[in-house]
Amino acid sequence: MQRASINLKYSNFFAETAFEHLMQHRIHQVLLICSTYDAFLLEEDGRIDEQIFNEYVSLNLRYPPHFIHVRTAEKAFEVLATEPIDLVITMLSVGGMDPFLMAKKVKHKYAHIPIVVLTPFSREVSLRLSREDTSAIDYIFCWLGNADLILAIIKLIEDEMNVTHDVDEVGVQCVLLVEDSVRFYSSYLPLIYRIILSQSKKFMNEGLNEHQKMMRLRGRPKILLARTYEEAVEIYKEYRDSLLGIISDVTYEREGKKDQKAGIRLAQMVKDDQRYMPFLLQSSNIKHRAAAKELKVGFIHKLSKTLLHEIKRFLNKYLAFGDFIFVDPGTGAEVARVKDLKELQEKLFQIPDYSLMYHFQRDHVSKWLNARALFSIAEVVKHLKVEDFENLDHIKRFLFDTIANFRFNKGRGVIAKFYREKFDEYLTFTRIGDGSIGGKARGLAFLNMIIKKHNVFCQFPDVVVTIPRTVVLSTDVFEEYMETNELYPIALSDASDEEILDRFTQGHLPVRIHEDLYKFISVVKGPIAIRSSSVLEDSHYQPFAGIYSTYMIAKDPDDKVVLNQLCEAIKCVYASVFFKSSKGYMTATMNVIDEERMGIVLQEVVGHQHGDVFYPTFSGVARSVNFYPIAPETAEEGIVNVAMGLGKQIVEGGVSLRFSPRYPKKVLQLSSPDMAIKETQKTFYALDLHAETFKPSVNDAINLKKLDIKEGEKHGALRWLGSTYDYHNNMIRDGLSAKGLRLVTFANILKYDAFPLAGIIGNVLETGQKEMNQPVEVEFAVDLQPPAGMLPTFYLLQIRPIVDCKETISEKLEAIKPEETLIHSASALGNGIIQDVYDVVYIKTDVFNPANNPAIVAPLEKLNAALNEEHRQYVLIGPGRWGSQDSWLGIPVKWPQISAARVIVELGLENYRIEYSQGTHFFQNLTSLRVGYFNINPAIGDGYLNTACLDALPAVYEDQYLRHVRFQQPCVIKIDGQKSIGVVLMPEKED
Amino acid sequence: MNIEKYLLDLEYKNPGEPEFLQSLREFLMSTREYLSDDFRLENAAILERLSEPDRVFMFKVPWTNDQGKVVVNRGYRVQYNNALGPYKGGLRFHPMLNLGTVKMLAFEQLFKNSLTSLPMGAAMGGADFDPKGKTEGEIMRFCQSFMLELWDLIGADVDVPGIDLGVGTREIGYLFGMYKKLTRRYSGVFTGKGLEWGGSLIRPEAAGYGIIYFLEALLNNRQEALQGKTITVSGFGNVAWGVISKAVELGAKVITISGPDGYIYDPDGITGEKINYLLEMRATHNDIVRPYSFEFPGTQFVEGKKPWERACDIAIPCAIQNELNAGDARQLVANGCRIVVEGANMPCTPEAQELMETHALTFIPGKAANAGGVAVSGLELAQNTVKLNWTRDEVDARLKEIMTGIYHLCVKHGKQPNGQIDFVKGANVAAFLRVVEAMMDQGVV
Repeated sequence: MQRASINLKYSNFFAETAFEHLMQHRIHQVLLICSTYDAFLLEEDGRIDEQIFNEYVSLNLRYPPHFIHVRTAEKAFEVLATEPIDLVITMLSVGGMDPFLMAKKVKHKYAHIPIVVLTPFSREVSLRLSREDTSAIDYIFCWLGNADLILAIIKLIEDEMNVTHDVDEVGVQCVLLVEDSVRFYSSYLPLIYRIILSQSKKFMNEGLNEHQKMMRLRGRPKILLARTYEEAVEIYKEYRDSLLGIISDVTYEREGKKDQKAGIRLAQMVKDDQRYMPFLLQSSNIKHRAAAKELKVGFIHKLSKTLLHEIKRFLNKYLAFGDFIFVDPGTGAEVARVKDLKELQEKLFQIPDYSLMYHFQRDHVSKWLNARALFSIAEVVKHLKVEDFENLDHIKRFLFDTIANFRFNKGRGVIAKFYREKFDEYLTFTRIGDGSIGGKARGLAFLNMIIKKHNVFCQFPDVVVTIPRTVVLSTDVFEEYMETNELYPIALSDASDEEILDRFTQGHLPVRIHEDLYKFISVVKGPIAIRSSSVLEDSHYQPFAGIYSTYMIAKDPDDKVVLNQLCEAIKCVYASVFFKSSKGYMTATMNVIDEERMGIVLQEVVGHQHGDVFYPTFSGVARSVNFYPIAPETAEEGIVNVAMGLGKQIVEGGVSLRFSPRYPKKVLQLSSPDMAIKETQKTFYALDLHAETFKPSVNDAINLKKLDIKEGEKHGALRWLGSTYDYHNNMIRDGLSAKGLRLVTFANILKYDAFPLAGIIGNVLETGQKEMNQPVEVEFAVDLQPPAGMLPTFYLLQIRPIVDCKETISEKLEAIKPEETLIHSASALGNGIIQDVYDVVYIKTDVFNPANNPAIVAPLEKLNAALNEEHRQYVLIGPGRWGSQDSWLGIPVKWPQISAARVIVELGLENYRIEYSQGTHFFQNLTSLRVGYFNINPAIGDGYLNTACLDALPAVYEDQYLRHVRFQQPCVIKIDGQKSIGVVLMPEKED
Repeated sequence: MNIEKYLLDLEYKNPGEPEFLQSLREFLMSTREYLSDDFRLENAAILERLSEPDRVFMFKVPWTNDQGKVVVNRGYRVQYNNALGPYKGGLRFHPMLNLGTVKMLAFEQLFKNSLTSLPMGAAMGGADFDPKGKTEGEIMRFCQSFMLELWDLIGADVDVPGIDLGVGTREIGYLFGMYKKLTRRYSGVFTGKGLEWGGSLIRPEAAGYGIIYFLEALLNNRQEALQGKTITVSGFGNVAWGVISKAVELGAKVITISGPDGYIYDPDGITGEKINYLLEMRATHNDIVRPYSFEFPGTQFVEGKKPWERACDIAIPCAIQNELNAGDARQLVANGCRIVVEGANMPCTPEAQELMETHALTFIPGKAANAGGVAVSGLELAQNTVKLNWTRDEVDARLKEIMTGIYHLCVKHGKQPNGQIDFVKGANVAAFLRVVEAMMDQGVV
């Protein structure tokens, strides 16, 4: 009797939760101040994500937050004057005014509007932020290309607006995050929100109806961010009883100064107050682990490569976000596990009493329920007193009934999962899945948009400008794949690439996408490219180009074979995230690998079938900024590299033809017959159409064929690109009518306008740069052999912003005498001053022989790894073209193998003068990461290198090829990007 | 005569022309003996006359680039000496070109041309124009502007420019086109023309063929034949290609070629399609020879080594300067090599030459052996004059004749008291004598 009445009482209580009063303050209208491209990324990449859309709909609000985008400060003020704005988000790409000054002006006039600065993450930006006056800014976030950061920002600000009311009224729970590093909280917040929302989603699928879905979302735990000790204490005191747990950095401000132990003090204070309050300390200093252990709080090393993964684990375990695990308090061993309310109910009687008691006493169960917005049951559980019942069994019985009651009354069945199936042959760009689509896909979607928006391409009536048919698998597919196949442990381990690939290919892709893929295959007629589209790749200031693999598969009459290969290739791309070179790259770029999520771009390969191979007439990479302009070219006019066949030729740093779209007839490589013979393309890449040649492999070129250009002539592709070397007259004759050796000169296109390549590229670059407010890099492929009746097509394959340095050096570097420096170059790339380099690694030139170039890679890689480990950067000097795949032209390193180099010097020798390494993705990485790049050739009086000084230093390491030396004082590096002068100064002598 | 004092005077008169002075010094040193023996020379001031060009033209070459901007370069034509025939010498377009270089090249051309026995005087010209990175239109406009200044200074019987660095058939075409327009004449005023408009056959092969003809003459003189001889060759460019084709045609066996990566040993000899492959390889493999061994099984690629370690009768270095040092020479001697002919520009170091001399190994300097290119230029002019295009065989036969003639001149003038032939001296003296005698005959002009 008693039990029934209690039951009834609590069940009534369930219905009274005032969810409709929760989250009353919302952000309806956001003013976004940034370039068109940035805005496009935010809006297009998931309409600020499906999640935010769903959440808004579920809250019965009529509109999801509406973004008003302006490009300039002037426009921003116009909008603020006429529209109700709830939040201002500004990026650094604001036209017309410095964003910080603008923020001040906005705050002055509209004090109530929160202002958030969203910056890309890079060294330069961090430096700039530390110098700027940010007092008018409420929050600074750094954007890593993940759209869910926007969701997190909006939620954080809304949580702040609503916390007082929602906690007091309904008992909504909170998580306190104490962190002053923009870089880190920008990573955590989206992660924590993601976990909370996905947790809520699970409940939704378990049987809550629309009404309860709304409740769940409104009642989800809030996150409160504190950036100083005082803020943290204030929040703790105010929401003490509603805190699920605390995550805290160790070092942050206390009493106006950086306190190296602020986090430990906070943990002590909290533990003294509430012994069982979950508390996680995290620090980049591993030494604090001991203090954490002493305090019995969790600890995570910030520099751990699995940082975010570990936080996720902590959140799930201690903040009750994951499954509830009942343990044996004596041994810590798991005795039972429940993933939802239903399971709790079912397993209640199997849980040993001692375990149940242990968890009840510590409020674990109520916290777990609270974290799921099951406040009513949580409330019941929290206030259960053992002494109110005859024995523990009675408690269990009571609880069982309560849960049953709750479920009976509220359960409304499962909401059907939503599959998107819009794909048909008329669509150029579609997506599968709900997550982010990643950088590359975003770029493609952006291209698709600008092609439509700008009719500039109409001036080429005989050419179609488009993107290839594309389907994107969003990152949630990746996440699901990783989690269901439990791949993180192997992925994050030190296993070899082959082992990782092997495990990945054994995994299964989510079944739900199979049908979509099958449909895609049935519509696509040619081969398919499977390309990475990671959330970090290609985002602003994050040059990931060429880090992950791109596979291609041929069409087979049997769609099942194609589907199977497609799935294998997708897994290969996923696996490539965790290959050794990617991990090295992540470390070098200060990214955290498990923050990486991968979308997949599936694209029809551009080109034409020629017998058993497939390739486009030519491919290319164009940049709107030219780092090495040769008079009369200027930096702003851009530069293009083109090569016959697949773009792999250019990506791999093979020989391609370089020209300025402004002066297409001026091709340096074709200046003399000798140069034309030596410096033009001899082979090209094509896809092998024999389906059996594709097998999962760490080598993404496994089914690519390298063909002689003679083959291209047979296929007819050389018709537009070829010239002939007339041996008897020692002349280059354009076209293929003369007898002699064929050369790829693009003469018919560049000189005789057989195809308006320069015009189209000029337009693309100009438009792309305008829309992105910064220089861009564009990849393209052209098919000049379309089926009869069709027009030749220019396909845009990718666009990404290039980091362009606008800072200038005030000092006149030309006044520095070369012979007073260690290195002096009048052909330097990069900009700024680097003060913390002590190490120089140089290839010995006295015994240099290009035949040894491949052998130099291994010791260099080892040296780089060791220096990286010690957080040391170095000046790297060596002959020829760094990063060239052709080892005769230079040392064939990949970027991760020299990732700690801060200045790279390409050294010409008297008998070894090689074209600069412009035109490779590797080079793009160097420049985007602000690595200084010098070209010198002292043998011909171009530049200066004090070899004697280096040789005189004792070697830290030396072998037959290279030498590593260290100065006692730093050698200051100064580069004037505008004048192309770079110097490495002699270190100051010690007193 | 006091050569040192004479050189000092020259330095005073020609400041800032070290290349020219160096060239004169070397010439004087090698012909010193002869100069002091012939009393007529001092009286006729032959040396003074030889160290002063007949005339020097230096002129501005304004032209408009693709952007519409006017660019001004400096043009040169040094007509050095026409005792033996119309001035004849190349045009060079190079950004570092200066008057000293042009005078030096013109002076050296005098003796190169003389050695061929063809009626050619000496000249040189060019401009400090860099054809690198220029469009065809720019190059054409430059050549036309250059010719606007030069056209009335040249002519088939006056001065015949030809190709040199930065000036190839393309540039000669533009120059010739403008010349034709200005003079309204079609005459053989240039060498290096396209085959279809007055050029000669066997131009690319000429240097290599010439070397073999010279060698053949030498062997014939010793009552030997090229037939059956084993030859090692370095390099695989134009000269090596010509050498190999002609040597194989005449029955010799060439067993090596080389590149910066190492050398190829082909025990069966490089013949037929293998020779054609050299041309292809030059254009496709960035100067390396390794691919040859993939293409032709049974051949061996020896990494990082030079071909001089192989046993041979004759060695012909055709790659780069100083490629054959004393150590290599020692190996050649040890392996039974008897003759070394220079195909490249000074491939043998002085130490190597000395060592060869002490071991009675016959050394033929490039100066004597590689006149084939110049000779074919002369033959091009001859064809233009008679308004005929000779067949390959005709050109080839005349080339052979010229090279055999050069050999005999070298023997005649290079014979040492010990009976050995000093081919360097022989070539120098023979060339010098032809010029001197012509000058003497033609009086003080």
